[in-house]
Amino acid sequence: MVRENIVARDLITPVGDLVHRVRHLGFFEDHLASGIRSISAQYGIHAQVDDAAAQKAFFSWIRLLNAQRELADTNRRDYIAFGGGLLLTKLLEHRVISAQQSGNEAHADRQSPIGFWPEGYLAVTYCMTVLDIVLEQEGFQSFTPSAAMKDLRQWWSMRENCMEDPALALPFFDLMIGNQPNWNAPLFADKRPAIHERLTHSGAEGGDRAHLARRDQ
Amino acid sequence: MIDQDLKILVKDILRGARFGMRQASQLNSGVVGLITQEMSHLADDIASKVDEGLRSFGTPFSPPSSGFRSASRDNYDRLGAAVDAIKDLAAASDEDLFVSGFGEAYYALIKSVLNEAGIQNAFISQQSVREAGRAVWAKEHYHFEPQDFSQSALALMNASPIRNIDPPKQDSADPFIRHPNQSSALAIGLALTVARHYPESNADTCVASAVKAVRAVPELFENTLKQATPEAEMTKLFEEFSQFLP
Repeated sequence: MVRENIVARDLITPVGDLVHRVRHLGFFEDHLASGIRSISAQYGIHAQVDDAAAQKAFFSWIRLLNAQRELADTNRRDYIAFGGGLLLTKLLEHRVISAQQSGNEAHADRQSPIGFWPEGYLAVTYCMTVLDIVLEQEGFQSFTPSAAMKDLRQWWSMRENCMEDPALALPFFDLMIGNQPNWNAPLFADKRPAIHERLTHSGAEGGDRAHLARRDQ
Repeated sequence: MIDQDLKILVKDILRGARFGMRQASQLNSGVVGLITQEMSHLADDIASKVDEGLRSFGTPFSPPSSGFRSASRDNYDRLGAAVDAIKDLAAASDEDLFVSGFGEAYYALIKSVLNEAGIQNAFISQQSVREAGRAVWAKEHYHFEPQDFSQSALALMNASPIRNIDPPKQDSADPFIRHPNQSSALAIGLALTVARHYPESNADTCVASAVKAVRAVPELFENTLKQATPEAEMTKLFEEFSQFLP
């Protein structure tokens, strides 16, 4: 199902249990490289994945995600979205993707998001597609990409902000998938509105409270 | 065992000579290069003759046959055999058997790790690998547990078996070029932890992924060595990273 252009389900090879398989370096490297290759070809862009940068991004991503995994049960759907946004942050921070326009395609127009910032657009498309697949595989309702995604100002703002602080890719990602963003501490899952609300109200279990207590020390 | 030690010593000398000759043949072109290449092949021949000669005297060259090198994997290869041999060190009944198995298996793993890291020409002293094995044996019995891999990694770093490398034309900040002994020992420890967690994995894949991890985040691995309890910290990191590999 392709709901919007930005979600490229038809370009990514379907595999089961993606949420767990993507947490292994070998699978991640292959999946990312083939995904970016397919997506970029679709848009007539020549893109490359830097293997060494991808490995650094992977370990940085998975360690940060794993360190907060006890929050996964608090709001699993939001935690999965957090994982997708965190991956985007790391792909941009480590400059994993490099891209060049390959010619006279219409999207070479710098007034389109992909023409303006091809690396960012490809990374967002990949992460959003992975998120879409994982949500479906895990039995959750998927997201509706926000209309702001087609607004070049949104992409301009995201690129400028991410150049200063790559962690800000995460709240921009949340905006794009219709989530309430966490601008202040984007890398902390317990500060995300959807998780924080559960923690501070009815959903908080002992383990989650203990996690908060440790974090706040 | 004196025969065994002598044989390893002779082999190490020949390895050192071969390393120098390979280096020289890369530096020199033309006739000088050809001559050094030929001499390198000659050293290879002498090394294999030494092997044959000592085998004919009944030297226990290989690790003990029962248990060692059991073909427990589908992808049975030299590296797989080395991993199996390390697994079976737990069953070694005396120091000599342990040191022999340790020396052979870790030597093969070091070569494989360096190769994976892009270092084709290196001089590795097998005698030093055996020294590391003796140090591990002296501590306590080996159980093929992550803490054993950390202990072995530290022993290998102390023994520093990689005596010389021919640095490839790549980033000189690469941890395998800056600290080949340290990085190789860490990568082997991690690869063995991965192999232990995922016994169905191919040994090559475990080694390749461990090299990538040590190269991607060297500061994390090197930092364990600065801690008050490096063995425990290293074990913890090996355990953590093995979840994300291969």
